Amino acid sequence: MQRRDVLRLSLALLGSAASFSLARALQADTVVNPGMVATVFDPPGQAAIELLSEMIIPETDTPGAIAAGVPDFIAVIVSSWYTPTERKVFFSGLQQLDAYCLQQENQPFHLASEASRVAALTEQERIASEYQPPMQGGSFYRQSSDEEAPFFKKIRELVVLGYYTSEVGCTEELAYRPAPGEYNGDYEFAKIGRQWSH
Amino acid sequence: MAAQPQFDAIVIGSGITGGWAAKELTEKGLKVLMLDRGRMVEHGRDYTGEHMPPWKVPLRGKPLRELYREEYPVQSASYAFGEPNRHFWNNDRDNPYVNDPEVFTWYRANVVGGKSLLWGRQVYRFSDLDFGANKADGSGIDWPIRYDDIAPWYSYVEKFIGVSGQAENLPHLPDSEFLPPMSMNVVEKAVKAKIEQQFPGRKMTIGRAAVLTQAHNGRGACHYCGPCERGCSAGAYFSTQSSTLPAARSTGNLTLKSDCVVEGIDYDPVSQRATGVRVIDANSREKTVYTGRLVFVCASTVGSTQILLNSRSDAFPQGLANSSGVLGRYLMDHTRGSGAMGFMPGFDDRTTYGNRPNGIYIPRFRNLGGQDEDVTFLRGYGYQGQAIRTNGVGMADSIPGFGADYKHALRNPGPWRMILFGFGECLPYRDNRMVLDDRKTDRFGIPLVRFHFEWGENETQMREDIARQATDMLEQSGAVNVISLVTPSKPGEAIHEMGTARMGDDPGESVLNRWNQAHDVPNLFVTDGACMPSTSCVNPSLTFMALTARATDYAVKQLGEGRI
Repeated sequence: MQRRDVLRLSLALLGSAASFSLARALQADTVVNPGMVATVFDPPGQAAIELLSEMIIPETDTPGAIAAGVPDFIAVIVSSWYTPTERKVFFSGLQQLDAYCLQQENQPFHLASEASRVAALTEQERIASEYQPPMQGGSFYRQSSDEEAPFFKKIRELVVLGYYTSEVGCTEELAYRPAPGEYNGDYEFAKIGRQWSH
Repeated sequence: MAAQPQFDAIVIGSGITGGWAAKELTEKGLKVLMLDRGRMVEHGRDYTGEHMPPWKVPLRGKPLRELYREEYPVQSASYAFGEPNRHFWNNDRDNPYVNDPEVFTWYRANVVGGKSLLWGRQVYRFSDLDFGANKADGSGIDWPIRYDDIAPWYSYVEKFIGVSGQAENLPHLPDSEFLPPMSMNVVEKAVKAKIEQQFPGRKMTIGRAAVLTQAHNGRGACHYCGPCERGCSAGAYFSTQSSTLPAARSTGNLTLKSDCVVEGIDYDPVSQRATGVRVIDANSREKTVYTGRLVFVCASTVGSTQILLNSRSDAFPQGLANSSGVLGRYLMDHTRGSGAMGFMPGFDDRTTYGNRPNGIYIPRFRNLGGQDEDVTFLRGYGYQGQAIRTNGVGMADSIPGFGADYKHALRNPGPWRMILFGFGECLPYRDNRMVLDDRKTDRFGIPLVRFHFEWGENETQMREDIARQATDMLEQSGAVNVISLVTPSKPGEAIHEMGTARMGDDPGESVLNRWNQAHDVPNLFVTDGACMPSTSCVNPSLTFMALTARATDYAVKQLGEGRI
């Protein structure tokens, strides 16, 4: 079976199963509030989210996305903030990662080898690079969000936002000065060696 | 014989002008009631989003989409709106108006202090180029005052509020009483040098801001944390809470009532005076009438005129003080949305330290000495802008890959970007107006505001020139990949709404006289943006403050002489 056919089959299977669970999740999540909870990931899905978070922003000389609590942030956003369209794109992306790794080495994404996982995510990035976003209207102030944006853009956006707004991301990876006390408009970048977090 | 009024003066609204009216009137010894329809916000205590770190912000700053769509569809479009300060803003479901925000965007606070908590803090004096503009080109009616009438009041206000800025000695942009200026950054200095060299007659200066660069009148200097609109417990920017409210309270003459929605102003046809203010408690819906000898309407441009239009009587069936029929008409807002931005190479080893709550300003250079030959529009515009070291994380979507290299790439800032965006003067048009809807009412039974507004050809032509000149200046300054921006702003989006109860010498075509006093009702004053016969192109709040202080001085003298 060609990989493309595997993908198509997987998507078809996901389609009916996902639409039921998504519909139920949506019923439960009609109220948006900051105390929202994460409900939609099963254990393999949670494992995949953790792997993806750390693959995108790994531990280096500073802590990575897991240490920054990014997987919990993603779970909340996908469960309670995403629209049906966004959630559908997100879950079909996870399913495509599984399908890719199953085809490569007969293991779902969260149990696959690192090489297979990297290849699967790289393939998602390639798919995303071919995506043509709709025209974005707007002035200085307005930014419309693209619900149809592909999986790779979605997962990376959430990891980046979750990480760089975390305490770890702000204070260890970037430089945090909540009350600088002065303004210097000609400051030597080498003195900090990293950008400011805001 | 009628009972003695409860108060010497009632001030409706507690924002930038209401706070000033209350301060001045109480300091002159009057017993003052200041009303606001919104909730109380105490200085410091209620700035719950101040210094909130990014990891404490709900949803890390993502919009609460469903809530905003249902309850904040207008306000949530503002750059300054977010979870750290949502409690300052109007709830659009509870307090709606008729139109879609495309027709007119009405940004409103709903707290004591009003938009003084949220404003952009840019302050510039009008000049005689502005006060004489209507007379010179015949658009609108002549201002009843000139610069000399208001100049001492500008000084008076500036010494109290504290204005940081650089003196430039430009006749069309008079200097204020300045505290030390904030500094330009390294890229702005380079752009300034190029513009002033390549374009004789043009000037770039640091923004003039009601933000303190040193301690002033008991308030602390700016500590450059950044998001002023969350509130500043140091009091470094001017707001009612930081400045005028403590002054008014310290006199012992102030009564402040929050949660008081003004339904209308009562008028006695025998004495030909406003006698009191009808108020609905926003929570209990209980109705009360407060009586006063003077009434200052300072409820914002649209809010004040809504109250006057809803104050109908046999003597004034079309709204209080509206014998002229112009109440609600000649609504204006600065036109914006056009400008340019580009990247500035050559400064990659430099960055900024601290978050400066201010930008640069390029004063008007169009039509200064009569009509320029190469444009057909009347009047002019100024630019605000800034150079910023762009944020690598902000460009994360455009950087390929993932993993350690990707993370490392985001650690670095992006290139420097210089942006210029114009604020253009808007001509007064009779058909740009607000009315009260004849059927729809709010939860208090008060008729909803309905706007009619369209930009004119003058604004359209001006926006094109704003983009063209900004692009030219950036390119001549060495910027690369310059993008010209020409998207027109929605009316109201500059949040410089003005007009609808204009001043003028002729009672037949204006609502207020040269003292902001209603021609028809001598003890009624309107001193907010509603009074403006034209807009200039500079940010107007300073002028509202100066007119308010001037009007209180006149009103109290008139009261003392038994004239009102």
